[in-house]
Parts: sequence; structure tokens; C-alpha cells
Amino acid sequence: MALQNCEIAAIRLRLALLRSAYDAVKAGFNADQPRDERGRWNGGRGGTSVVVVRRDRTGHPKIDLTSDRLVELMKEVVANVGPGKGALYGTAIHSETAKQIRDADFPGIGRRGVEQSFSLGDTVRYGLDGSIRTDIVLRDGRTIAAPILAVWDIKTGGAKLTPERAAEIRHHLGVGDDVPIIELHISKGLDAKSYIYALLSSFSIIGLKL
Amino acid sequence: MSMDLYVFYDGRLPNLIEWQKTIDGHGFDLKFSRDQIVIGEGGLITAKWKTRDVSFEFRPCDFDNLIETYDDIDFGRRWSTTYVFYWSGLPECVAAYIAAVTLAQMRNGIVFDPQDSLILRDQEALRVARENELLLPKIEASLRH
Repeated sequence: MALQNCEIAAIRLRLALLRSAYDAVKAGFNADQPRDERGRWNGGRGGTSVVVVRRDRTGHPKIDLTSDRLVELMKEVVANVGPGKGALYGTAIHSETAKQIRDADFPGIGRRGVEQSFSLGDTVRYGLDGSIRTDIVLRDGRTIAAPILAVWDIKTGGAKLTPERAAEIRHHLGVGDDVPIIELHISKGLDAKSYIYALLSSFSIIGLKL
Repeated sequence: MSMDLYVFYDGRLPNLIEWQKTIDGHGFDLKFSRDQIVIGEGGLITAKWKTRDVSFEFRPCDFDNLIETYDDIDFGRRWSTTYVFYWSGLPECVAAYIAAVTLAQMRNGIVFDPQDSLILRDQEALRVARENELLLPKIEASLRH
């Protein structure tokens, strides 16, 4: 017997709720934490306002989707960690972001694509002397042999990704200018809001292969 | 995830023994591992901060390229030597800060924290490194909750 339209709608709604709950668990959402009127954790002290001000696009659907997911995850991290300043605060944001990205197990990043050490085109033991440590690496597949699609570098406050660092990253990853390095940036405005943007650095992309 | 901190000075990189003496002289509890040699090309420094194993990366970088990126910062003058320190974890932040500020102290240099757009000198740089040591347990405790 064919299902009535209302029954189909009810099943769809239930599926959507289940998907939403699953996403929330993966993102580390804890319903018991104190939250503001928009559902963001405020640590019981009024919370931090987080605004996304810029999302650069590469035109590559996988990269752009991952950028979006990372920005949303960072919004949650900044809101959860709460307000602060200084190198330790920035490091705390970085550490929490790394943990959340590992837990989220994004396709093409997984757990290994976070804070991975590279030397001359190969992955090496974490922190090996002479190697370089990347923040987030997206591959076109699950295995370590899959080609690298993009790299994200997280910066806080006034810190910027320098052309020299971008060149070092490319050299050690063994990739060319076609692999974009995207700066995910968290800064704080005069109004104490946190601003997040995904910046595709002008020196980091020349003729992206689609 | 890596954070960074820059040190500017004139002259050569000190050896690890000189560097360690300066760290000890300022009363910081950071001990470089003895089985490593620090060279001008930089690399990974391993150490113990209090009872915790830490490591951070440091590399020379080009002053002229850097001032192009940070064209809104006044570095005072041109410096002949620039090193950047990278780290990822919280105790590594404390350790890298101690190493950077003591290196600047030895060579009458300055420290640049790009996160807060701060230029730190002399006692102020040491004060920030000491504050980090004191703040770390509180930040770690807040992250556990």
C-alpha cells in the first residue's frame, strides 16, 4: 500500500532530525552546556559572538565544501573556548580545532590529515627534525598515497601566512602552485566579536586544476 | 595547528650551551635536550619544560620578505637575523616563548608576536614568557571542562 504524503513527510522529517543529531554528536555538541539564545555555548558568561566575514572559493567542489565545514567547525570551537587573547589563547583555539577536526573525520582529511609532518614530498614521523608540520591536508581519497588537493593553515589575531612559509609547505609536501593553501583566520574586532574568514592567498594559487 | 613567533637580532645564532645558560639565568625551567646541535638552518628543538616533553620548530626567515607581509608593523630598523618559531600545543607555546625571548635577550634583539601584533623587548618580553607559565594551568583546566 502506498504511503500517504503526510507519512512520507513525517519519515523525511525524522530522517532530517536524526541526521542533524548525528552531525551534532560528530561536531562535539553537548546539549547540557549553557547556551545563548542562538544555541551557542556561552560558558555561562554571556558567550562570544562569531561572525564569518569571508569565504574564498577555489571553484573545486570538494575543496570548497571542506572549507565551509572547517569554517563552521571553527565557529563552534571559538564559541566554546570563549573570549581571550595572547599566544596561549591562540594555541588553545588551534589545539581544540585540531581535536575537533580529527573527531569529525572529514572525508579526505581523516585523523591523519591534521597536524601531519612532511619532508621532501613524504609524510614522516610527527615532528621529525627537518620536516614541516601542516595544519590540515585534504587528499583526493582515503589513503596516504592519494594526491593532495588543498592545504589549510590556521592563523589567529594579526598573524599571516607568509609567502615564504607557503613555499616551504609546498616544497616539503612536494606539490605545485596548483594546490591551494587556504588561510583560515580568526580575528577579534573592536566590538569584541570574533571574525572568521577563509582567505585564498593571492600567492598560493596559479591556475587551479579542476 | 601551528602558531608563530619571530625573533630579530644582529649577529650569529648562539650555541645551545650559551642559550641554556641564559634560560637558566632568567630562572625559567626549560632544559634543552643535550643530544642535539642547533645550527643556523634551524630545525626542531626538543626540550623539557618542567616535567613535560616539548618540541618546537625554528627556522631562519628573510627580514625583507617579512616586512612586506607585515607592512603595518614598525620593526624599528632593519635586523640582520630573523628566526621564526612554530609550535602547536600549549606547553610548546610556553617553551617556544621562553626560547625566543631569551634568544632576543642574548643578542639585544626584539620579539614579534604576530597574533597580538606585539613587539616585545627586554623585561616586557620576559614578563610575557613568565605570564604564559602561570596562565597555562588555568587554560588547560578551562579546556578540560
